[in-house]
Amino acid sequence: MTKPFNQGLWNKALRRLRRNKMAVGSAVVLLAIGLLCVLGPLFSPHPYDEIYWDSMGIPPNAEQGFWFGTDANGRDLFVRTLIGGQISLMVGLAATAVSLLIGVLYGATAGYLGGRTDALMMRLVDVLYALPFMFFVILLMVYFGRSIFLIFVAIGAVEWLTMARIVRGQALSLKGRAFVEAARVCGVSHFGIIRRHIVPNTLGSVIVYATLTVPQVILFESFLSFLGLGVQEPLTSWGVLIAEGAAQMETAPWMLLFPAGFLAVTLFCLNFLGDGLRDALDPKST
Amino acid sequence: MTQPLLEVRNLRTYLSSGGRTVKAVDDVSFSIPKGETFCLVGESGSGKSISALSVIRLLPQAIATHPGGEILFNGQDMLTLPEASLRSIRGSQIAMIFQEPMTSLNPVFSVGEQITEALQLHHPTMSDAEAVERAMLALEQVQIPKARERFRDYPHQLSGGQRQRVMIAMALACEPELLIADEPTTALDVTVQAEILRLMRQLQDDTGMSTLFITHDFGVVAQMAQQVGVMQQGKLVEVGNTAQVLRQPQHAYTQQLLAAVPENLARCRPRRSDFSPTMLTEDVGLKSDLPALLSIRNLKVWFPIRKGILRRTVDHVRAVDDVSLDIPQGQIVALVGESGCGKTTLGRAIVQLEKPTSGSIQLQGQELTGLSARELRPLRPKMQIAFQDPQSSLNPRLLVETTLTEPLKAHGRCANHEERIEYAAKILADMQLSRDTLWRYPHEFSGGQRQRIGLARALVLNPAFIVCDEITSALDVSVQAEILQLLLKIRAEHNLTLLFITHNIGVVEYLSDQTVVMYKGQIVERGTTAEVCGNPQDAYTKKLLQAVPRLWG
Repeated sequence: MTKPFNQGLWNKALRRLRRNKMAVGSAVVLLAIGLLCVLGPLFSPHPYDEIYWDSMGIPPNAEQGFWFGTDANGRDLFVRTLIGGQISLMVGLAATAVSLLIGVLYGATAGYLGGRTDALMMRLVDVLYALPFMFFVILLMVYFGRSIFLIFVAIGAVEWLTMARIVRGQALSLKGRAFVEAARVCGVSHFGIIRRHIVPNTLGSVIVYATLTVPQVILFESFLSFLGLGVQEPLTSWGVLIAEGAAQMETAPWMLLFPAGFLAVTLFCLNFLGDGLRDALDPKST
Repeated sequence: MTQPLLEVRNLRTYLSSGGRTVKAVDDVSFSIPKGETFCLVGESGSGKSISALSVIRLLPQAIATHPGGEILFNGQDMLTLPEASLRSIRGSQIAMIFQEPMTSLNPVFSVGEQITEALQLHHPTMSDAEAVERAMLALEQVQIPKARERFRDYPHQLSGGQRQRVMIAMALACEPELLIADEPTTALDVTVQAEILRLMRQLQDDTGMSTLFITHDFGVVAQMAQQVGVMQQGKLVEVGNTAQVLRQPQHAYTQQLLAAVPENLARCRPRRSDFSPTMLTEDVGLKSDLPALLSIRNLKVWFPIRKGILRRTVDHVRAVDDVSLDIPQGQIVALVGESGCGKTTLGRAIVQLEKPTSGSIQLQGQELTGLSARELRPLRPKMQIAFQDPQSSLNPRLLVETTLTEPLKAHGRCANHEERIEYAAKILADMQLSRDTLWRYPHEFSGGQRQRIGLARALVLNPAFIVCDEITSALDVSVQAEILQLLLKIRAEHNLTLLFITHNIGVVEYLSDQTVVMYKGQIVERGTTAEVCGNPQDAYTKKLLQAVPRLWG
């Protein structure tokens, strides 16, 4: 039986991660939030788009089942926060995963191959950077119509550029290291070198950057929704809820506090988990 | 007897971090009389630098404590002096120079400004004009050619040796009584080292200062010191008169260290007649009869210098310029020369890590230049390379197992992964490493062990030829001796031909059958090692050999 690549690394990383209490705690909290967002709406007495004309903007109230209160339109904020969480987490994680995949491969390839290939690949990145993002999104919407899927594509298409630059810089310095040259002399293929020698050594900064990307994407999505290009009423997301809540901050603070609290806790946990992962993936840490 | 300038009594320096305490310096006593040089010698981690930094109190107080001892400088105890008085002593009475001349000068100030600043710090009343004049004198004193013109130069415009001279000028500008030199010549070429050492001796005669000299090189000790102290794991195991310690070492560790010096290894190497028949023919001088495993003809490796927006090539750095060389089957050929002479580039070009500009390289009659990566792949196993830096030669994120089986897998050797692992373990055993080495990461090993793993990776494909690029340069002498002996052993077992790139003449004399000397991209001399080292013909070879600090006069 052959051993899959780097099984040792991942096993050990998991063991190291388990010893990091902050990271484990964060992972548990994230999982809880995720499960709550997915399962919570099923157990709530109120659907997310039902308008209760007699209870608009009321504060949290357990008797009526409005645990987080209702919003200005009389919809149950608890369910809406969880539904919004589904959208935000999905957008955040999926777009980050897409940007990770493309950015890391693209950047590592450009940096490792170097020379003219690198110049061409990075000029393409520059050109894409220079495209006005809004213009790009509007173009997509016009051609393909509006859908959640397009938001992933649009955000992923922008986020991978920075990732590619970061990884390319690292790959450039890594390819001069002796172990990469040794692999070349041993006749390992270019793809093998990128996969085994370049990418694993960029993991540290990639993971940290990825944990920074998730909140960025979530905020991005709320911006798009605010402009009417993202999720549409009655569907919602944390970004949209926070924007609405901020408008009512003085009269009805719960409309801001609940979604913002969820977002903040999620981002905190992501950061701790990211730090923990980075340390866990570094074989030097004991 | 008069009072010594510096007297260290029972010094202890403990370093603590993360709850662990390391006894970096443990009960060390020595003294330096006025005008004399005391050498602290030892392997890396023996505490010699920490001792020196303790003397000048430069260790961060957060982690370093001195639970015992006295450091008497001119009768005052450095350990009890307040920081303010220490600062006035540092620089003006005790000066220090460091190993790395590039990082110890500030790149954004000209060398003149830096010396002037040092002067005015300790003589606040000195006028600018006087300080500049003194600084110029200091630069002249360290024999920098055209010192007055170089005054406004920035550190990057000077060579390594010149930078070290500037450091010395800066240290001496305030006429200190004690100079602490922490491996000042380790980063320099041997010819430059010889000049710097000569300069230091001369300045010491002129000024009458004392020197605390830290080094790992017994050759340098023999040249510089009246007294020598040998350190091992924070303890001073032997102190004494230099000639006496070097000739009749008392302590077992000193004996072991001295035996590991390549110059001494050469004396223990078995006589040529005990070796294989190829060695015999070589001894008679029939080296041209041996079939050439590798032959290089008119090889040029030029690196373009590009300028302007269009990156037009304006000139070339001629790293390797018209080199022709035959490397005979089964021989160890040493390639020596100073840094920047092109020896590493030549080695890299042979294994096709650099694309030659022109010329031909033939391995067993097969032309290597001009092949595509795909055409080259089946030839790769025949020639391998081992690198200098044990830190970067292994991928920190891969198990040793993965590092060693990867080349086998790439070439489809062995039937399955289990067999590959078995084979890797066998090669590790050849390198005197245990089987469980496979399941560890590179950072768990010492520098010497990592170099052996690097060699094992070069060996797994069962090559005919290995380029060893300064593989022992970053190692301590005793580890270097082990690696060299191991190389001789595996050379015999695997029927290897080696190109051994080094700047260390002692290693060349011990290890190699033939020697090739490179200077400015060209081969200036070649022949059997005995011929080249015993009776050099070329002017540069002569200079190089003279510059080597020898233990035996």
